[in-house]
Amino acid sequence: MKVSPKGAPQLKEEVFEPGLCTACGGCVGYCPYIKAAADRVAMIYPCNCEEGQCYQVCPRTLTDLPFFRAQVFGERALEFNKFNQDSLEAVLGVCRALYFARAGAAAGSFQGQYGGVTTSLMRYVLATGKIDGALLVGGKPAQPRPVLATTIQQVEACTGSKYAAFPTLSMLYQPTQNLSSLGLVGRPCQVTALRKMQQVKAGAAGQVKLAIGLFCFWSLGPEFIPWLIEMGLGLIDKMDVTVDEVLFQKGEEVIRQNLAEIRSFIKPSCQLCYDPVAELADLAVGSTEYEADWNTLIVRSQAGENLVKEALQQDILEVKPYPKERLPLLKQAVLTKKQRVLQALKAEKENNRVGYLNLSPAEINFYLKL
Amino acid sequence: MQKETLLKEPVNLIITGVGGQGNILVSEIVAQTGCRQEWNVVVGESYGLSQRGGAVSSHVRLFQHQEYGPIIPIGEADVILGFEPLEAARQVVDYGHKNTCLIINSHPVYPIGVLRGKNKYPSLDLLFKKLREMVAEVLIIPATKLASQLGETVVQNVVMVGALAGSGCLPFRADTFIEVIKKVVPPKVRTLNEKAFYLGLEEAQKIKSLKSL
Amino acid sequence: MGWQDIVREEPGKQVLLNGNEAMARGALEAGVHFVSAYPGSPSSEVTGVLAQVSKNFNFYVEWSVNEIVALEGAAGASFAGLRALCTMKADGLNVAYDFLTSMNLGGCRGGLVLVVADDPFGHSSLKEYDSRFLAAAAWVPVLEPSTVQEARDMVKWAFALSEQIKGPVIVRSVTRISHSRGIVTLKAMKQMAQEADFKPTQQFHTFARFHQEVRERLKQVEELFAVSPFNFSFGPEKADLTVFTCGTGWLYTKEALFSLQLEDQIKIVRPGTPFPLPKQFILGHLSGTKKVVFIEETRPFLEEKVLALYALHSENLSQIKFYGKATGHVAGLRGPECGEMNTDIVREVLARLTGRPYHASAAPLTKEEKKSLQALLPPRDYVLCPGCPHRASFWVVKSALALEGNNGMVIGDIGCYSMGAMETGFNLFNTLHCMGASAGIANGLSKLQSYGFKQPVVAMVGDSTFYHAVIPALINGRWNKANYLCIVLDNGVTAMTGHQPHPGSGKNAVGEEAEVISIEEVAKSLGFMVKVSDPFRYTEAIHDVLKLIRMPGLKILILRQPCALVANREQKRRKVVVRQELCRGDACGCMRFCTRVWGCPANVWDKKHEVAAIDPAICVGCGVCIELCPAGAIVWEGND
Repeated sequence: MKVSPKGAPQLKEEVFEPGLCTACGGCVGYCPYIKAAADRVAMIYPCNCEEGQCYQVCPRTLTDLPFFRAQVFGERALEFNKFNQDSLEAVLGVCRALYFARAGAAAGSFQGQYGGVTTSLMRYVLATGKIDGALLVGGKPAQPRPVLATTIQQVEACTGSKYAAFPTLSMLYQPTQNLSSLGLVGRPCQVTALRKMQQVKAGAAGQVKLAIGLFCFWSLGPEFIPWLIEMGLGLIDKMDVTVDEVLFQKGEEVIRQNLAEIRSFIKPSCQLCYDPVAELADLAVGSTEYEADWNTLIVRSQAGENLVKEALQQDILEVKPYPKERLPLLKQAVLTKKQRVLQALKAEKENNRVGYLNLSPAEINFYLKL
Repeated sequence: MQKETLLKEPVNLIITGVGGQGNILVSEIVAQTGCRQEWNVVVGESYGLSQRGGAVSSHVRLFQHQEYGPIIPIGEADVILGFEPLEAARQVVDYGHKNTCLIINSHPVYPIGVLRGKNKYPSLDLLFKKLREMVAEVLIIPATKLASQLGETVVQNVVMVGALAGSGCLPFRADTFIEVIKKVVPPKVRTLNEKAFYLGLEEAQKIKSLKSL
Repeated sequence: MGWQDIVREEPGKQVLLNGNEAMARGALEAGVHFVSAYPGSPSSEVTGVLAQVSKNFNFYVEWSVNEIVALEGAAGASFAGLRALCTMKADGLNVAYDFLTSMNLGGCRGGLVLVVADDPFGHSSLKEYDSRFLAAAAWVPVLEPSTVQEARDMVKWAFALSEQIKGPVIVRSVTRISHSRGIVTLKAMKQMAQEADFKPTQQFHTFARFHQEVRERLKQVEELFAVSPFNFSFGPEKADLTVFTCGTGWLYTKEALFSLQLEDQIKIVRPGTPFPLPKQFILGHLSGTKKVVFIEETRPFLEEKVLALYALHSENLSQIKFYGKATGHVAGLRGPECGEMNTDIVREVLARLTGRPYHASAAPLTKEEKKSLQALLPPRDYVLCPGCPHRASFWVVKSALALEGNNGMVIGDIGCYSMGAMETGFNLFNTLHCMGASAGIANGLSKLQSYGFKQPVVAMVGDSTFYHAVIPALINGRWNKANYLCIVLDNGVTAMTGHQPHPGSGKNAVGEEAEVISIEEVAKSLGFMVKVSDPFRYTEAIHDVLKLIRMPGLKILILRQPCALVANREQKRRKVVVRQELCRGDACGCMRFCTRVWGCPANVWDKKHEVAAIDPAICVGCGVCIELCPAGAIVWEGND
């Protein structure tokens, strides 16, 4: 694995100062110098450590993707042909299967986002003892809080997308009450950070056996929640984003806002992210942008595949083939994001400002020419 | 009480340490003892932010004929009683002369810069060696250790008063010191302080007699 | 110690007192009835010791909320014919000055004495300055003692003088008087019985037309000073070189003369009454001399007055060359026109002017010796006490502002917590000035949004400072829609100056139970959003700071924990220990946080094992480092 012998000073310079922190939480809570308050992460004092874990686990520092693909996907990573122009995987990452999915009949009822795939799977792995704790974001959209759920009820209380970036990985540095296997539901940057943490044996990262990555084209920075409250939307139950609208749901009432209203809250670091579909996750889950009651599900790792199989058998999950006609749309959406970011990053790289562009020139050129 | 003549006029004594080490109590004891021996006394205290871990020093001047101000001139301290090695040495730089008698508690109290790893505390061996090369007499008293034998490290300051008496540097009498200590310390810790005084006195006498062998 | 001696009824007895105790004794010998003050180094012990002994004598003592209130109270007593004393540090005279200049016009009745303690060199002050200039500008007579005994004598006489001239009198002390000990020969204490009476026909007013009356009063004072034994000379009747000195300079000059064996060649003139200048006394000594050296602390007050006098009378005087602080010939450690005096400075000037070299009686150390020893000695910086709640509050605010992320400004104020401007306070303060300045500056800064200033503003004030000077600024802020967070660091006492009680302490100066004027009740009654937090609960306190910063308007957060020195005396300590096997020490994830950054003196480094340790002798068991230790290595004893 390629590593940089760098530490907190460089993390401050390359990540915090340019506003690239994703608030993943991977560096929060291990040392006394990087702290989080709700969804804010900051370095509060120089630690003077020249080679630091914080730099190594950050998803916005140099990340040796081929290495981590091999770590997560083993043999399957070798088959992965990223330079084949026609390959779906070249854009979506390692993909054992791609479905429309939703909670199965045996999953019970709960208020999930879209098809409720994430919640039903997490409930299932917890109920069957595959994991004994899940790292989630709980609370309502205006009062998110990190949750280490150990009961099904706790998992259910965390349903629904939050959109505010929350540093849940910091929980991996807290005493985990003798929990031996953990599950994580996180943004793609958090999945990347998790893999990096597992590599350096940071906190309880090694205990995370299942990582479900959420599709994420952007998340919202710390000014978002104060804005929500100011707008009188502090008590909304649910939030959803469509192509051009944000829907805030409070009981039966739905308040619609133009998407442009909240665009200014998008974290600057999301504008420079080229992994919208959690390429290092075991499973990646998102909306379909097509059928409201279904999720898109990408099965990536062996563990992910095993779980999906079992969930299908137990009727926890229901899937149907990904509609052929939707494929180019999905591919294009991801590719557009990648291309836009890579273009920007290439320019940044030339200015020598951003340290995290970690793809080879060949790879970059491949994407840019697609 | 018989009045003794001072060896010189004035006799200049510096008591130094770190805020909280009981500097002012000792300057009070020494000055009161001077008064009881019918000398004139003036004491200048520097304790601006003394309780905040800073260096503290008291200048005690004894005289018989004319009056003196509260600050000892540069290079004119005859005795330096230091509750902390670094602070004792600091006073030597400014106020020491070749014949200065130095009585030092060997227990360091580290400055915050040293605790933070920003500065280095000198090796005590090196520091004491250097001081011995510079001034006439250096008595190293393990005062904090002796005080801890009494169960209260805080009385290291009175152990040092005992050492001052035992050093013979100044014509103070042990019994006068004891009279004063009895007067200035609260009744419930009188015995403790008397014991501390004698521990220091005996230690200084022991070191002196070893030296004279 | 001192308080037992200052109440002795043994005239003729010699006792050792510090200058402040001696001045307290002077007040007792004068039969003082009313004493009021706001504490401030180096003046605090005058009123402190009088409060301790007031019950023996049945006179009134109070710690007042600030200096102007103290002086107004003392003036009230004086108007009723009683003897009143008001003490303060030089900075406090500024606070009391508005009233002093007013009251001096109308005059007073019973002896009214102000003891103002200057702090040349700023040993325990942020600034040094010379209150003689303020006294002169206010047309208030000044006495300036040179020794501890004289401090007693002058305070005592000041009461009589004040009654005679029907105006207030200032006794100017300095650190080297207030905080020096010397032998004082006790005199009889006056009987106290005195009825307060303020007749309906009596009036004390301030009107501009009274200025001429005050001028006449000063003339009368000058006549009294002309025959005062506080003005004297020493040495030959006629000398080419004369030293004019005030205050502490007197003994330094004497020592310098003796050590240079110049006592038969140089004359010392010591006016103890620098304002109004005893002109005939000064002129008499200017006559016939060729060179004059001025030795005085802080600023060249005497020097300027004498130079002006010389200019007016030069035709009757021979040519004189002057050497002093104003001319630059006499310089303190930090240069001319400031600082303390000492024998070395005087000796150096006199040796230079006379060509008489100084030979020390003992062989000096060589420069090289001093230099090589000095090189070994690391500095000893000031540090907040072990377990000090301010350290926790500073860390909370430092963390919260970093998390807030918009370069918040911290506006500091006066107290122990002024160390927020130093490393021990994480260099947190952006500004530090005088009592109450923080809230006022914060008001101003928070109104600059239309000029593009959008950083959050946090003012940090102490509890005693809150009562002293912050409340008007807060009212101003609320009225004018200021937008900042005012944090009150409430440790229950006026800690910096020696733990005097304040309006929130529940005790008064003499130790009686008193009404608690609750900071939160005051703030709430003014309509503020108020929250009380515990700075020892780091995470929650950060949350509160962040929440309040984000709220619009002027908000008040009280961070409350008793002063560690008080808590340590009153409570049983819980013991803190280090599980050394868990300590990360110098590795990533800690980097010696407790010793390197947190900097509580009780957090020490075990060099031998290269791990953290606790110094049990000084740890007060606050337990904050337990929460801050990233490895969970610091624990309560019993939890290991």
